Amino acid sequence: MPDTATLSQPILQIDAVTKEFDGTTAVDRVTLDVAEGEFVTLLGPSGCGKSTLLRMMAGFETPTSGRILMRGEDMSKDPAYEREIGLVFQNLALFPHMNVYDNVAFGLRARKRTEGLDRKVRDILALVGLEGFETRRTGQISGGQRQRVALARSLVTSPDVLLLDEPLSALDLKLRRQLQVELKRIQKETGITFIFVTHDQEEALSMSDRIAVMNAGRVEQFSSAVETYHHPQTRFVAQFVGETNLVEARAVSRDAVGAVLAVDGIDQPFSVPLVEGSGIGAGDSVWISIRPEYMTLGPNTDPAPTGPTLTGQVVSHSFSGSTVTYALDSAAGPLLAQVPFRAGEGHPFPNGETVQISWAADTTTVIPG
Amino acid sequence: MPRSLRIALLLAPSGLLMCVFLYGLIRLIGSSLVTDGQIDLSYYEAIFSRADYVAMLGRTLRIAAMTTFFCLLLGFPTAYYVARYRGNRNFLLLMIIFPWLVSIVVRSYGWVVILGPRGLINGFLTWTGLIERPAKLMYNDFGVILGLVHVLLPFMIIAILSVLMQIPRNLEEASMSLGGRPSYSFRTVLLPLSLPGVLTGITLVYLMATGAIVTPLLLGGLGDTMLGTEIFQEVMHFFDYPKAAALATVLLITALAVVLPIQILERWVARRLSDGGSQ
Repeated sequence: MPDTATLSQPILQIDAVTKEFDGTTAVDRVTLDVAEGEFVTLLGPSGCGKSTLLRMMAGFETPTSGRILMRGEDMSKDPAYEREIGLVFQNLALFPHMNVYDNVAFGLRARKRTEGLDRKVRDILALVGLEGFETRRTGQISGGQRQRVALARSLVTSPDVLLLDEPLSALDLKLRRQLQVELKRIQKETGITFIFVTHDQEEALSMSDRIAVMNAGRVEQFSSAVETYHHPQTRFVAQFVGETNLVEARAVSRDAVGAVLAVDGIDQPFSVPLVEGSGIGAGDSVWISIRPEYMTLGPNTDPAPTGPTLTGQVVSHSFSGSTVTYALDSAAGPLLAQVPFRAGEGHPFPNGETVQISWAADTTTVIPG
Repeated sequence: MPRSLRIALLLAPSGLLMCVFLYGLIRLIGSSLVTDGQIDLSYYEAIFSRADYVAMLGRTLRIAAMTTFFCLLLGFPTAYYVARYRGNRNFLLLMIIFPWLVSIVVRSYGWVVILGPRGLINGFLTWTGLIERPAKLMYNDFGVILGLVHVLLPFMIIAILSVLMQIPRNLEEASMSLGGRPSYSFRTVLLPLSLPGVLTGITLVYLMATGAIVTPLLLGGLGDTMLGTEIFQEVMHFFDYPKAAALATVLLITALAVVLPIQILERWVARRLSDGGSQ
């Protein structure tokens, strides 16, 4: 997987930035490089520091230590109005005393770039699909349209970076999905670097080139959406991004490409691949993460399949058309399995049934304990 | 209890107040216009034919305007500071309202102690030898305006503050993130949005300043009184009710001539803001 950030100079660099408020650390030594034209998401639960980090990029907070560089130049101390950074606020912050046109034109007028202003405003309104809404007041349009106005207002000045602070969180699910797609399209068309903040992991996975998962002020992992989902590096990332099964394991031995793990309730130790540079050694206790969709279930009477296998009881199950999700109780603790639904005798497995649970060893992600 | 009856009961006190107020107002204007059943404009002719009364009217309006101006100049930044204060805002509010707990006579007299010929400032300046004889800091317009600004400033602050509190802090940040320098953001975002409060404050302070009695009486010069004080003296010292009524009517009309346009402007601004701001 090519790491775009290393190909050219990053447009935005967050260099060991820390922010403290009255002795509490909101952002803790965060380092991120964002490449030009990239769609990066800061993902984390509320209070993880993602909004504070965004406010520092926008220029509304000053880092306690560390630097924020734009095209290689330190701008940590620059006031917000001198930065070429747009910001879409969570509550949008549209100007209530102006119509749609004046809201969008605001940035150009404030920066005294009035040449071709009318053309630019109308072009950007066309881009977000708001032609004909110029003279509407911001109170007279729907939530989705207000969203588009906020986006157009921040895009019209062609900022180097556009920050988006959970702009979709107030919308209903359907509109949200629709705007996610549109946001992505607009980002592609304009080529502007987007930094998107959200606590919704599905939103992050579906939109981002790369995701920075934040927890307690720190970036736990910064990698592509696929990488983040399939190779979580910490327990937090594994649990926060998607559903997963976390099981305690012990490394029995270690070789160049992997390790052999033993798990309580599984008879045979099994070997798993390790990412390069993994510091796990023999004797370490670790966590393994297996996504529910990689689990296979079979009748207890079947011959043991290859790969780690254990038995468990069905606690509950829910049928959702093509798949069935089982909550299971096993010697390794509670597990979730999402398996394709096959019509036939004994399917889905009834609650209380003892079943054979297994997965392919190479779908296991090992997380340091 | 039926709803209509409840409303009627609630309205009764205000109705009573309105009736008494209107009766007083009609009697007041009537007594200045009617003598022995005949329409008689002689009181008004007498007022406008006397240069000292015309000067007094002009001075009253000028002092009221300057008081309003200085209240706005001091009140807006104070209100802004309080609105954006991150700590205990109620404490600041208490400090602003605190002077209201002290009688206006005492507050005005306090300025006598400070500004008088043997007052704090003059005493200090003569003691240090910076001046030889006391400077005239009161018994003139300066003293009156200073006293009135002190008395009326809280009204301006509260009026503006109530509107500023409704303006999301985000809007200023949005302006800044769009490249608006602080002065630009103030002019295009904060000021237009706070205009209803500013206009309310101007109306309140201007009206109260034109009708001020005690402060001009204590801090003003003997020769140059304000209309409110003059009316007070006509009633309390000379018992010349029709003349006082005529003066009061003149004051009322000149005040309305300023306040009504402001009120209309305020309605217009508020309407413009409300249909854009409803979310």
